Amino acid sequence: MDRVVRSLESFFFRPIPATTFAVMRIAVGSLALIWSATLLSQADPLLTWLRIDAVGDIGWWQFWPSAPDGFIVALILCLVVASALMTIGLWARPATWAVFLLVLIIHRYNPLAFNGGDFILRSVLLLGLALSPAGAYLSIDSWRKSGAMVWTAPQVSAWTLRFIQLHISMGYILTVLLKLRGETWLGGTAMWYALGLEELTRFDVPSWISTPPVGAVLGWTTLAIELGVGVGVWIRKVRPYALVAGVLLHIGIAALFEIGFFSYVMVVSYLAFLPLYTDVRGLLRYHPSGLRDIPDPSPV
Amino acid sequence: MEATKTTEGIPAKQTPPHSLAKVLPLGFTLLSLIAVAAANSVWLPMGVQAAGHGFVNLIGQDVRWNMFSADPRGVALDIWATIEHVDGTTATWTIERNVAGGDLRYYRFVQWAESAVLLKPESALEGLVGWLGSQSSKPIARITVFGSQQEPATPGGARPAPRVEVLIEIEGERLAELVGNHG
Repeated sequence: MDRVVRSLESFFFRPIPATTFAVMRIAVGSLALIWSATLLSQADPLLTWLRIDAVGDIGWWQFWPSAPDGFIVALILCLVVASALMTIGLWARPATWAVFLLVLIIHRYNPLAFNGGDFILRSVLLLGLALSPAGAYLSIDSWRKSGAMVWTAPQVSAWTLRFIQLHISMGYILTVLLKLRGETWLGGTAMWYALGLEELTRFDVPSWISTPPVGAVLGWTTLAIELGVGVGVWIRKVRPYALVAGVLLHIGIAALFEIGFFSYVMVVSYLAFLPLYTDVRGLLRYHPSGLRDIPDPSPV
Repeated sequence: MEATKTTEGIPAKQTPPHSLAKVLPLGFTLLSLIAVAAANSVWLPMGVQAAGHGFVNLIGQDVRWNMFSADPRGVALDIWATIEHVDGTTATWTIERNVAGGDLRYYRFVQWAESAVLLKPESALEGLVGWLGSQSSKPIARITVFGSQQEPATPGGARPAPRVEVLIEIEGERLAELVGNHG
């Protein structure tokens, strides 16, 4: 029992370099900045005329249901500013919390207008970073604190990185389990139905790609990659290959479907599994064979 | 607090084992994982799923992992509206696809339209009518919003004709009331 507790403690709380948090803060902050900037021009009508009444299970969560339209537009302007502050790491902790809370409030005004990618950005990446010391490294905060650019990352507790890693990993496993409950993914026709959604696809895909046997193989490959990412990220030797396969899958999804930020959010989430270099300049030297020489983000 | 020597980087402050500073983060992480799993696991009893939804809504972690699951929707959806002016002319509104900013903007309208066609939320559809009315420079007699659902073809087969329905139709005083709701 004591060994289990020690393992859990080591997994969640051992000190790690703040590099991954810093790189993720910059990437996720940049994504949030683009997300909010593109929303600004759509706020009217999406978050004004087309927003939904505070009914049902989100009712008590809709912040100021009768808010005037100008207030919601002002919220998005605040979000643009907070995202920029988060990215550069100026007042990083409050800025990241502000981004998370503003995105949450905005989502609740019209959850119908956002998809899974938007919710993963907020629920996993932004919440995880808001809880983390994401401004401890590669930030204006750290530069102001020490009076110079610091290249050696401070050591911080790993738990918020675990929070993000576990949610992403579990999400992939959940999506495979959900797909296995349907008939089309195993049956080999899922690609046919997905690529038939004209409102989402970028172009007409030749039917030989979406129908069996090619379509079936593509569908099974999707399942295998999703399961591979969900499980493989915890196995040191498999991790680089699982992440590369995941990136290729999301490039494919982005190339075929107009589903907004989904693919970008998922690829950015993979940063949580990158090696924890103490000096960010080590990222430039990244090579899978170098994994032997660096601290491992997973104990497995 | 004592400092832990680390091989690289700046020494970290060590938290005593089993302290509140460890129990709380660990408890929160595990609880949020269980809640997200419960909310997304359609095979669990409804009560368990509802409890999961309740918790994730509370902490702002409502996330859906069901894109193209259990099966891709297959049914193609569309929404459009006709605006009939008092002078007898008509105009049509559809979702603009090739806009500046590309799919980083377009998908939000498509996502909204999907819900509008499938769930027919009254407040959002009335909002669409009000917005369309507010965009027109001419007096409007009636606005009708249509939704279509086109069933998928079986692999290799032809697609059946779309099923079109009126989602909402508004005219007269109610129309004027909706147009005056915002602005």
